[in-house]
Amino acid sequence: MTKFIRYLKPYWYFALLAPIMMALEVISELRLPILMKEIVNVGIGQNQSALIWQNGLQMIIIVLIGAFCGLLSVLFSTQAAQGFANDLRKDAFSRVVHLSFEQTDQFTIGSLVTRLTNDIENLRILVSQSTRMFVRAIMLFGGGIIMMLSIDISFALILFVVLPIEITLIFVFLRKAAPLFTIVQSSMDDVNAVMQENVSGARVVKAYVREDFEAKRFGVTNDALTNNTLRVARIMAFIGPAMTLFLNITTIFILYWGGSKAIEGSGLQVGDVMAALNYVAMILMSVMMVAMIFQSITRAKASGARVKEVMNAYPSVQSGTVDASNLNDDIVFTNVSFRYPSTGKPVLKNINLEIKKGEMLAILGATGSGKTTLVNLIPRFYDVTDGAIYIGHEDVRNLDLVSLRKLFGIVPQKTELFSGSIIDNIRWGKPDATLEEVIEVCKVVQAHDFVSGFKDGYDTIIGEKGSSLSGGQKQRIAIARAIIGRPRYLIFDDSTSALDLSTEARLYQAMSAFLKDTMIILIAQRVVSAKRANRIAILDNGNLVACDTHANLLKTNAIYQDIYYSQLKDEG
Amino acid sequence: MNRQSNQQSRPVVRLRPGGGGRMSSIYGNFEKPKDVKGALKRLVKYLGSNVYLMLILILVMMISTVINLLGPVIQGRAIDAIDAFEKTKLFRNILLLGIVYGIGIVVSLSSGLISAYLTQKTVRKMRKDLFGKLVHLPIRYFDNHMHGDIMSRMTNDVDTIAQTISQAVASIISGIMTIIGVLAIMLFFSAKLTLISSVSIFLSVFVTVFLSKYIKKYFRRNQQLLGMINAQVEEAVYGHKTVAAFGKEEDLQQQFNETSNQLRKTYIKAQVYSFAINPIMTFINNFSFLVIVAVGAYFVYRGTDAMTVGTIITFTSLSKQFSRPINEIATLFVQIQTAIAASERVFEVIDEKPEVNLGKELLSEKAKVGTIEFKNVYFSYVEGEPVIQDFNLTVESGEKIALVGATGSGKTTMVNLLMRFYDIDQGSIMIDGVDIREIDKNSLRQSIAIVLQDTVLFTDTIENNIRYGKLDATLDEVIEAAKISNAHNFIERMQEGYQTKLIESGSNFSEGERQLLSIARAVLAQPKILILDEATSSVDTRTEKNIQDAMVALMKDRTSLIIAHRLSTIRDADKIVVMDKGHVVEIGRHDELLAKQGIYYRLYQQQFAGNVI
Repeated sequence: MTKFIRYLKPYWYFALLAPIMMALEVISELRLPILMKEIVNVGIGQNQSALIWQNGLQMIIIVLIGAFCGLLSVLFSTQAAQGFANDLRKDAFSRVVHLSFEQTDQFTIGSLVTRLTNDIENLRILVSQSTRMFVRAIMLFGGGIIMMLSIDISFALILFVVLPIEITLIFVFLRKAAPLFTIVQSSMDDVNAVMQENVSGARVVKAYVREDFEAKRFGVTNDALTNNTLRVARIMAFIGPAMTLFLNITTIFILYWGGSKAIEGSGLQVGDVMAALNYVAMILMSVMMVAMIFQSITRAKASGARVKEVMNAYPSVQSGTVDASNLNDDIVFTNVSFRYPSTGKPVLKNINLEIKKGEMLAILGATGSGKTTLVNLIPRFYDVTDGAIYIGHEDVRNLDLVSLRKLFGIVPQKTELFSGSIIDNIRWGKPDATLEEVIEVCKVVQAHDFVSGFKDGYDTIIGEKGSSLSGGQKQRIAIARAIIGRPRYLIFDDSTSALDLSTEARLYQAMSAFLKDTMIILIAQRVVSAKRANRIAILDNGNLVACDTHANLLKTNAIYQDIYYSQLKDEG
Repeated sequence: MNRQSNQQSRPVVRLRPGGGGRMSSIYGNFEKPKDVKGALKRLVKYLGSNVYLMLILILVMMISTVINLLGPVIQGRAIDAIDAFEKTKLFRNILLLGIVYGIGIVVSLSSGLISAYLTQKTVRKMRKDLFGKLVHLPIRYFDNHMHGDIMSRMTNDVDTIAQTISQAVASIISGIMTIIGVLAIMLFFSAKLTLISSVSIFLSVFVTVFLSKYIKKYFRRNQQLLGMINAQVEEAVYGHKTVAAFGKEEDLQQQFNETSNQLRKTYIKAQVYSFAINPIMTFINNFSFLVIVAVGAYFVYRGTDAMTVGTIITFTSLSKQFSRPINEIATLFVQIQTAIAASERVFEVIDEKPEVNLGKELLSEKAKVGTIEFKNVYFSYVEGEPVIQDFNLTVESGEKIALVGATGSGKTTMVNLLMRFYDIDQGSIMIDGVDIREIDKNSLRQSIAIVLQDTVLFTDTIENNIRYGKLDATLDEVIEAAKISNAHNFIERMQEGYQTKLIESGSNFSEGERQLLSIARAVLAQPKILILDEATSSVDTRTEKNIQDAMVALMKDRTSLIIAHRLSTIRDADKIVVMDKGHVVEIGRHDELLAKQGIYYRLYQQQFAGNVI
């Protein structure tokens, strides 16, 4: 929790002023019953109307001051809490965008969203409560006790009996409820997961006629959620009445004790009993408030731990210092091995490979042979476990990360487009690109025809109702985005899989004219796509088994022959 | 998948598989209800499905209100007794108070328990109804609605309703009764003081109404900004690879900071306004307290109006009882509006027409297997924009058919039609000589297994994911299916083998592996007809070849329909159907079509155009 204190530092004056204002408000509130007591005891009891007016005026002034301080306290504590949450949120987001790939693999999207919203919100609530309510509760508690005892010391008796019992009881309840909150949360996650899967997988559910099966599966999670929520609700339902119980017992005691004393004329007056009743209500309220704060502390503690995980996720890939912007050289793999940190299984084994400037290299291999991993290592989405990758003579790990990645145009296997217009998405690759440039590149990637067919053309918003892109169209937009900046290195990870063959062929032809000196690394499934390359690297189970021209491979490499003939046996 | 040019009814683009998650909260969540009465009625009906419980709750709430009001009255009497030095009267009142308090505790405990129970049961039923409807909705519904929006109806909206019910039911019942009761008691004691107290009521109402206008405005804005925050985080994580590849971290950060700063601003406004209610109410309370005391004391002093100190005490605590329900109802008002809007969104789904299943014929009872006949089939997703036109094709039992054609030529649509995800506009489709519209949908779908372009897997073990194809399959059968689909090898290599859990619907597996798993699932189903829609696009060709060989054996006397871009995948087909803009343009075997030198020939040649580069 202390880790987050520094986010409160810039707002320390708000965080300090809020409780001070709150204290003033409470003091004014504590003062009121006393003034009223005098009105009743002296003013009414002894028919002194002057005192009624005098005290009445005082009360009005005090009430006004109290309200004013209360408002200021709200303002200050909100400022502090919101400032705190805002800074924390921004910082957490910066961690998220800078996470390394292996870390995003660990966090799920949903969990990161909750961490940045709900969890930070829980921390905010704690800050807001502790700058206001906590002070209020403590002062009402302490002040109430003092004032009550000052009326009659014998009231201490009842307080010393009731208060400890009450406090223990509340904490017993809360302790019992706390672990249940986590259980409720996780059964909520289960319910959401089943829903999500049925919404996105509706076709499969229907195709296998599993509607009833799914309804039953949902029924189980739904019942679990209901039961767990009820378990919490049952415990929580006891807290309120328990509090009232103690308030009532104390009230009766004071009426009895104080009343008898007053009637016997042993120092107490009606007004004293009334004031005492007011203070008792205050004290018990304050205990309730503390209980609430403890609840949010419990919640904030869990949330804090989750946010901390994000804040502590230092990107495992750290930027080097050497500027890469002027590099235009061969890429060399020397003895590169890689294993994913999460599974520990070797994915690439001792790869040695030299890719020449301006060359087009295709990578072929079975599913799971390590093709994507191989290309991911070059722009340092992951770092090699052993060996090194050089651009020219520079180890990529020494290069400045931003400038290194700027050298590359990358089209990942899964197309990721962003909300915004088509032209916005393409301009990612070159922020200052003119419309003419965008159109030119779209012609290259065979996207111009379909984009200009849209009513809004290049301004068509992606990701909202009313515009629809097929897998192939999305891929072409992603390719346009990657090549518009005419990168020195281009990586295609099975990037044309959704294109039909004629479109793909036209795209490659136009692209080779558009990108003159670009090194192209191409992961392919189809031999036709691979044949375009100067050389073809064959990966098998993490090993680089061959890297040669199409003609040579066809003569010497059994795996390649196998792949080739399975796809093109007639043309041999 | 299906693309039309009509702007309105185009299916939604899904950038994220599985829908936009919380994106929709940008648009929703703080809507004004359209038909308050209607929605409210149905909501009450939902609550009322537990009529007895509801009645008991109302009864209990009434008792508890009476007790809450009796308390101060008896307290006042006790004070009067003290003031008049009457010990027996004091004790009598204290005893009375004890009894009233005792009942009060029991009553408030049971009302708490009952309302929790009522809320949970209501919400449980609502969720169940919603889901029960959801699984029976036609595919068209899923294609035309944002997945994030559907999800948000099932989660956010139901939660909003749940929270509101649990607070509102109790608060409103007791609130209204309290106000009425307080007024009655006050009037009983003193009409003049009641008049004075009611000034504070008007002040309270005025302030609350005035402030809640602002609160509502800022909370609505707040909600929108929160939605944007969600969307931005989601996008940053979902598109993480692309963000990193293009070095866009700083741009996104800036965008996020702007939203976050704005959120801070509106949040502060919303909170200051809503928290301000408290000190202001305290002020009004204390002020009216003072006026009551002053005026009351004046009456006592003058000895008029039968005023006693006890009456004053009663009035002061009664007037405090006023502001609480007013305050609560005011806060609830905003919430109730939101909840009604939310329940409208929920009822919208519940009111959706389910998929109709009028067919009676059962396919599985037929001996013959898998002939398919398309006769003059016409179809359009949007009226006036035909996707399939005059499609004719006969597939004999045991044949392997390949559908080829450019993206958008209507191949996937044929799958939609055959499975009756959508119904044809004209013509007919027959399976084993029976029009599919006359076949029981379940029976139809059970005899066809499909493997889709977008793989769908569930968050469960590998074994259970494959078993989805046949729920009562033994582990041996599952393994057998995995072997046929070439998935066995990679599953074996996993530490926990078939017990390996898929995280987030399988995001921990590569695209190719996911495809192999869904093929295994289809294999296990042992269908009459197998449809592979780009099912092996991310699998390397050698593995694909192995799968195909195994499939050929498996599907020897069954029919299979294959959609693929790779010509290598389809070359061995018994019939290749070349589609263009919804028409069949060529049908024949690979060699025949090549010899014809038509569209297929050109497609095939283009495959080698790549040689030029």
